[in-house]
Amino acid sequence: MENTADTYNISSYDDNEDLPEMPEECAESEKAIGELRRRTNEDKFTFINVIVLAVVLLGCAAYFISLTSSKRYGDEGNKFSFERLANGKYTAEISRRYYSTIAFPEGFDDLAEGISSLYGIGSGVDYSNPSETGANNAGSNDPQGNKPQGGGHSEKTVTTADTSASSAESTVPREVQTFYDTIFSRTTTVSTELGWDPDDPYSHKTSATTTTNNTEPQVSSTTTAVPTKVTEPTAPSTSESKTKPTETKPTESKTETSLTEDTKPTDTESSSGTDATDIPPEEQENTP
Amino acid sequence: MVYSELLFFLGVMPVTVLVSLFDRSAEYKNLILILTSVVFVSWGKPLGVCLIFLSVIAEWLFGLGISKSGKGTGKLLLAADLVMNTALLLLLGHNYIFPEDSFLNIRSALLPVGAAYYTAKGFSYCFDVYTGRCKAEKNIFCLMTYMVSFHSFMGGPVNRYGDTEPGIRKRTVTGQLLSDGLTRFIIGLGKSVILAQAFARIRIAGLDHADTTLAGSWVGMTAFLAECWFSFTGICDMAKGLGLMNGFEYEDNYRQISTGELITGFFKSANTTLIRLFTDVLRSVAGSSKAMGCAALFAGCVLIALWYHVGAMFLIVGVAAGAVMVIERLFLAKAFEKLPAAVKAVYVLPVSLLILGGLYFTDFSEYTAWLGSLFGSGNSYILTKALRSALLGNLWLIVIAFVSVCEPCKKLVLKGVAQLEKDPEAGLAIVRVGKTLLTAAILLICVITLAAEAV
Repeated sequence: MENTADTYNISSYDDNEDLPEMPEECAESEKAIGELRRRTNEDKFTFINVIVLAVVLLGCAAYFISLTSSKRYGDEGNKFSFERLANGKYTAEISRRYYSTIAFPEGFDDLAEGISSLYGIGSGVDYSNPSETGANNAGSNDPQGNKPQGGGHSEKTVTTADTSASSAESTVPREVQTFYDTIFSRTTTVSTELGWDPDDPYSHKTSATTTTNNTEPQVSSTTTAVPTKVTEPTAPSTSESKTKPTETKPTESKTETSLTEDTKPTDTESSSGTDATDIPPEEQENTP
Repeated sequence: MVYSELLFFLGVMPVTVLVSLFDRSAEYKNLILILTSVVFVSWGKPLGVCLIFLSVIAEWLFGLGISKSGKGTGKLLLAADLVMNTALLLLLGHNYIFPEDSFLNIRSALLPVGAAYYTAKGFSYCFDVYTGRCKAEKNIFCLMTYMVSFHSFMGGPVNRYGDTEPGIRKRTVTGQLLSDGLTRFIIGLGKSVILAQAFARIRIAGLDHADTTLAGSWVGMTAFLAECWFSFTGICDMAKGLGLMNGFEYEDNYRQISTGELITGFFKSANTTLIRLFTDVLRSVAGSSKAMGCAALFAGCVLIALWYHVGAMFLIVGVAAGAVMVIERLFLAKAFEKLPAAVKAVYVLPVSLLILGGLYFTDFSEYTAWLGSLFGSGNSYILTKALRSALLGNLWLIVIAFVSVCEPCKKLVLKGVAQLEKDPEAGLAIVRVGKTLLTAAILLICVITLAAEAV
């Protein structure tokens, strides 16, 4: 009987002789080895995934939980009693402390703003701090449309008209118009500030801006008079509205057809914007 | 308490997962789960949890009664269970329908979360016992684990007791499940905290101001639907992640948005388990005839809309959706069958926007005004600076959201990742480590965002 060991003993063959065919088992074993290696690597990376995420999560948890020590609040702390637990005050106090003792609040705000700046490419429009540089060339016809050296526009407050509030709720027209005299002489921007309530989480800073083309006859202008409800009983004239601004009704001088016919879209824009940063968090608890 | 609260995922969740790993027995894990669910549901609202536990006892008794009685009595008991769960849903989930001076009006501070999904699960248990899909549970603690598990309180799934029961009796938490659970939870958190909020900003810039614009009407409403989608799927992903970390493998409560089945498939993309429950119930009532099937389909759409919210606009949207789906079943499905996906998308997406846009408004006149503004009526301008700013300020998030929803783009990305993974030495390492770092970065961004909001 042929000795199978000698048959497949490669060393017994000369270099010139044809080697016998290797059995297919070796290809299969290579596949199996590859599969085992892949699974081992997967298990290894799964373990790394768990460790990294757990460390980050537990690190954040330790940071936040360490700030809710009851020693910060003295002896009059969150007393545990069945009554306080039953009416929810005990757990509500824990929540309040947890959120009120976040360290470095300004740091978190700055970080959040920095992160949110990564989300987009930037609109280039800053509504909060208009540049104060630039010549006052409102109305001058400069066909070249030279940009100001400062790259911005100057601000001139024109009117501030407000009425004193009455004790009862009343709808009071409040007009605060700020004209931007721009060096972009083809356009004049009229900005109207609407009322907002800093204490009302659902109220947003709004401004209505209408840009018209100066080189053409004045074909459109929008003066926005925003009726706002003033609820303060003895609020001075500079008080801010406590309620959301109501619907804006344009005045009779507004000509709707002018914006799309006589001017380029970029020259004539009107915006009624909201400050996107003043968005209250979504209330998921109301989800059924 | 909600999943995306710092106090939950930095306090309650890690403690729960760690404590439940101390013992391997299912009974111990179930006890920890029940205790954590009590804390979750009753956080700040402790009284409502009593009603939930009382209803567990009622469901247990109903289930045993249905299993031991004949068909007629069983049907009566099932009907009684349906009435009880409907009453609980209206009382705890839709309490706003009762006038303020009514004795049924409960302060919102006392209403527990998750009543809608809880009552759906309760009824699904008795229905499955009646239809023979599962056996009546004699161990009340197993049923309690199923009913009060906080994993499915926020956004489902409405997992059936027959599918969950093996895991309740015996389950193990492996490293793979922990890894998948953590990853899924963090991805869901990112969807809910980052993507949904980005679309909320765009929605506010487009819709929430006095002057309507053409672009604001279209883009703003699209952003509203995107906000709802990512908020809901984020909650579902977090629920699935929580389940995986506790050894349960729930099914997904949503599926990839597809226009293949026209508007019917589009509407069925979200809350798939709830829709399946309603389908099973109505099919058992309607029988096999086509007319009754269409009537059941229409009724199902209306009931599901009211399940979300009892209000006139939701009723109108439910009626419209039901009508469109019946028309599709009778006429359009065959006509559109062989058309390419792009053509179907041209039909599905605008019609869905028109129908689902009604969910945003509380008044029909506002809805009709918005419909008019879509085609230029009442608009003075095309685009506002605020909307442009919101779009540009969230551009990368919009791109990421689009890729995650658009099937062809998603396939392209996954194909590239699979290609990279083919190299067993370096490719797999790059992909897996990159995935881990990305997930950790999402977690940190969510923590910073939530902390900044809380401050």
